[in-house]
Amino acid sequence: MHHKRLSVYCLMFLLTVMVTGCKDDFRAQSDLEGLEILAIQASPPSVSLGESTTLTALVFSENEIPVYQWSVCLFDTGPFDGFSCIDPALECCMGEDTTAELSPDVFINCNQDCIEVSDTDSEDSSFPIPDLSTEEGMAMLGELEEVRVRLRVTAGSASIEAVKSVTLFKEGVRNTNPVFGELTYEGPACDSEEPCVWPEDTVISVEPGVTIKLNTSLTPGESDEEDDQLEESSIAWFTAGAGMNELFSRADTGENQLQIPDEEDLDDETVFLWLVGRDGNGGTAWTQRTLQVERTEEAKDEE
Amino acid sequence: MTRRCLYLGALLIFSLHGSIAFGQIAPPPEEGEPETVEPPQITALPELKEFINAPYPEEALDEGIEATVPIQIDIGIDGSVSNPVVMKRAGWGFDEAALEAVKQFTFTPAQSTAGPIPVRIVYEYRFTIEREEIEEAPPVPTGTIRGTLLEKGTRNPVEGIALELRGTDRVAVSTKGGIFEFPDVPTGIYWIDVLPSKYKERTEQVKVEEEAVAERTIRLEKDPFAEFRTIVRSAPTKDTSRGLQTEELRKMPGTGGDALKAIENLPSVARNPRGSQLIIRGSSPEDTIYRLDDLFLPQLYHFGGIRSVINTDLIESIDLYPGGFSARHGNATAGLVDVKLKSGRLDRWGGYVDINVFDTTAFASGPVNDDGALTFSVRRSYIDAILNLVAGDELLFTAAPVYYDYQAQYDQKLSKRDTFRLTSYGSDDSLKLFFDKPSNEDPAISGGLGTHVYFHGLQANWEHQFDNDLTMTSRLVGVRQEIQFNLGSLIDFNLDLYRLGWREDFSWKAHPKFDLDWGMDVEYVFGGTDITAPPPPKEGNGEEGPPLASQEILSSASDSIFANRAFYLEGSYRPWEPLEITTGGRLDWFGGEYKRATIAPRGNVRYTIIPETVLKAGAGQYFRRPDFDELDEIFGNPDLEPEESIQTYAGIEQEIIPGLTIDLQGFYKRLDSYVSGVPEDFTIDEDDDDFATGPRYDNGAEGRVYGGEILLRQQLGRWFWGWIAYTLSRSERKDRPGDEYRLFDSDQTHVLTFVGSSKLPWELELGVRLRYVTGSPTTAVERAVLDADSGTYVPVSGEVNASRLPDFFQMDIRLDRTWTYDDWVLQGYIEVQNATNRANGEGFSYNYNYSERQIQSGLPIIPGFGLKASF
Repeated sequence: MHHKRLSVYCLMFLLTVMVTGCKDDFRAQSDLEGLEILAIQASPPSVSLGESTTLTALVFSENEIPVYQWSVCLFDTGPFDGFSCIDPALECCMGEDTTAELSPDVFINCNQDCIEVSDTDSEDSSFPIPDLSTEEGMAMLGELEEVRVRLRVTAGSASIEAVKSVTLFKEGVRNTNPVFGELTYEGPACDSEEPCVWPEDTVISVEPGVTIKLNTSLTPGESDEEDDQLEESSIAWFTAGAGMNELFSRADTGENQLQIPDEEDLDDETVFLWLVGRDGNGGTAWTQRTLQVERTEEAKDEE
Repeated sequence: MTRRCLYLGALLIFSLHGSIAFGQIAPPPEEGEPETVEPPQITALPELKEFINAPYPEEALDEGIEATVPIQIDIGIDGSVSNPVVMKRAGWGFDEAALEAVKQFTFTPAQSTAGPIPVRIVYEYRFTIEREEIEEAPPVPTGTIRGTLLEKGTRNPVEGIALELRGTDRVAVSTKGGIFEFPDVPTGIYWIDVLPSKYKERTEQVKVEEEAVAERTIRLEKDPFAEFRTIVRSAPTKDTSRGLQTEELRKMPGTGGDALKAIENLPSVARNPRGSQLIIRGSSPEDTIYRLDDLFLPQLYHFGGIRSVINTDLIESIDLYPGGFSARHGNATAGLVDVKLKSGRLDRWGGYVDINVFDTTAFASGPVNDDGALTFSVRRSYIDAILNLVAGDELLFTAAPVYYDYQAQYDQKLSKRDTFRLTSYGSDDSLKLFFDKPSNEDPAISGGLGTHVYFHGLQANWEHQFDNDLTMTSRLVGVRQEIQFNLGSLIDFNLDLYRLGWREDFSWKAHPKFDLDWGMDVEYVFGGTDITAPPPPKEGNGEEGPPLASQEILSSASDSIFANRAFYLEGSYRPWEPLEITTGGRLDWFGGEYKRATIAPRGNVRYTIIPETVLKAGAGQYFRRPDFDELDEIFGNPDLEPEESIQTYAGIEQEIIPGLTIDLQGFYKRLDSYVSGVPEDFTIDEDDDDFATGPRYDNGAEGRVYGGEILLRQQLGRWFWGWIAYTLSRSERKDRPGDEYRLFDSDQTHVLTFVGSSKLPWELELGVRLRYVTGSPTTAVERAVLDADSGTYVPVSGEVNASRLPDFFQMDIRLDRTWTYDDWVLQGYIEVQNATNRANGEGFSYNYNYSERQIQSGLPIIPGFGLKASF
């Protein structure tokens, strides 16, 4: 069918949003509940043909221990179809641990035990599957820009799927994962007039109802276009037990605010904070912090 | 003593079918197609062929009384007389005698550029007694009364109004320029009575002195309860049309007085929830084209569809062709909107300033010589201020969102057979926003958003009439158009176009039973594109697309030339009076970088059973060149074929009672070779064994649209005008060969619109618009996958358009009030859109991982007002 004129539709969307408002009462993505995949890191984020990379997932599960299932597909249908594998015969399982290794061996000895193949899929399968055990097959693989790894996490009745692209490195400077700079905070918990540094292994104590101003930065990994990379990088903020002002912030000015619930809304005295940094080129990093909320004596007495 | 009856002849045209002087617009619909408004030009007045001598009333004869009886009569296209009305009674039996005689008169019909047309005249039947012996009487000193009738407020001259010199039998009728005269009036003081008409009665005292001319200017005030537009059926046109009058369009609730916005209330036009262009008979808005004086018009509305780009007061007619239109009108696989501009004022300079909540318009028109006129219009919005209020601190406008448009026009009558028009027009919409933080929905959206869409055009028209049967119209146009849009660093869209158009149309009345039209239509487009963006979403992708951060970003920059040279030929044959068969065809030869040729045969039949009942049917083939980006090597496929539609319709027009008409039409439209997105696929390139991807588009889609339309309409009358428009339709598509038909995005099963306006005392007018529309199809999100590279969820849509949004209902109310002063008129209105404040569902909003959704409501109640001062 006719495509919709991009500019007109984007503008219409914007005007509609502005005029009608997009207010809703959904839970924010940064407020963690139940089961969530926060990030997947490939280390290294890009590989040359024949190399391996290790994938690690950052998963939040509120109640149950999650079960992992990794797989990889050479060719997928793209974002409009949820990155589904174009042919089930091209999908290979990568294990059920918290981490998985992506190597040529995954394709050469393709294990499809975890793949559900319907009869229809088999009948429709007409895709030319490259034989990666041969040089020609590997050369064909070299034409690809990236391969996409799929992770399915299950915890009880909840299930989430995520995809992570691993770039096939061709030339230039290979990208590495970014690194978080210092995380600082301001507010009642910080006695100094200057922002206080919050090391990863330090638990800070706060009172209910306070707002803590946070600031950090992300140093991109090595790249031949670091400036461009920084422009597209971002930090995602998540918390369990409190609330974030924003989900995303720009990586070069990583500001956000953490809102500690009031006494009556406080479910748990321990608040977790996760920061996930992405360089926009496949590189990922994360860091975690913990806060202890000190209830007032009155509240304790009431309890 | 003998008696003699004299006639004074047709003193003036009192009202004409489609007369420009009276602002008529309203040819009746034909072949279920366009909505027209095209008044013919009068070329010859009726002449009395057969005079009937009325018997002189005996009593009056005995008493020696003479009299003159003014009678208003309608003269039909066959010259017959109907609806005689005595405008001022003379008594003594004169009225009845004159009435009976006039009924038997026959005239030659009035002629217009569209052929014979019915007219209304005032005929004065004079009874005089021829005396055998005339006594010499001493000469009586006399003078002359001369004056002008002007409409109060507008100061427009008023023609065709009868005046009586009280106490005498002298009657005069105002002629062109509103001028009237009573010659040879004995000296003394008189009262001039303006007789009842569409204006209020008026009396003026005047003193006549010997051999002097007593001048009077009499201002007449419109009678709000009188019919101020004469409604007449004009001769049928070759294309079907539903007439709209500017007075109706201007006061239509919910349109802000914008004539082009009123089109959306007609049958065949669906509601466009996205607010901008027209959805006609279940097709994409892009499948409908817009024309200004028969040549390309880049867009019809400013952004958001708030306002059209052409001032309503410059518009003479609007033709909406929902389909099945004539070969001369061009190619579009859906509908066509043809806007005709009207000539400037030749009587005097006039204009207005119109201030309302969205924008301010200034308009002026007037003569520059005896046969030439200039017209100017400019409009500028202040939506920037409104949006800033709504958006608050969350959005920072770095350039004010604003639209403006302008039109300037020069009309010159070069000779009796030549007219010339030069029109300059343009429109500009711009907006820039800055976001200081990445969007929570999509971290790729950061930095800002900007759009700038504009066009400027210069058009020249020359119409030459070789003789009464052959006319030629030449048109040239140049349009500069640019569309710019950017969003963050990921989307940058620039389309820069220069369009040149040339059109020649010939119309020849070859024989009383046969007309021939032919011509050519040439357009060259020089375009430059520079696009960085993800592949554009396609119809059927669903409302929720992947975040930008998860999409592939493509770039393409190119310069290209597209040409379209078209020739058409069309003949109309009337083997006998009620039947007219029109058939023809069109050859389009696409050139430049897209070389294709198409031949499109078209035809229709119109059968007039009786003057009030017309049957019609037609069929035709239509083509459309794919869009620029669809033909782009990176974004699309340069090898795409033109899209094609075959359109058929049949219907009936029925005048139930004078002024109340019903128009029923059924239609079926078949769509073939439509551009469709190709599912992403990989193939092995046979040359080098590399992986290769296929084109993003092909012509694999097809579709069908079928349904029926009803328009029940009360023409503008004494108390009320309005209509009920209902469309029942179904629009379906197949995206790929072998797929099942599914609902199209624009499918709306029921579209029911009531529009009505009634005059109230104190020059008030109250209008209401009610709209009920079946909810648009929608595609639910089935699941979502987290894209770990962007941190956002990518929705996966379920079955395309498998469900619908809630039905839409809206009531709009408009109250108009006019204050008329001697030299100017002040009009004010209050308009309330969505008066019931109903929360109509326009879509769904989803939570971050698409596991929950809520209905997103449309616009709440919106009150507005405006003031217009005309001079």
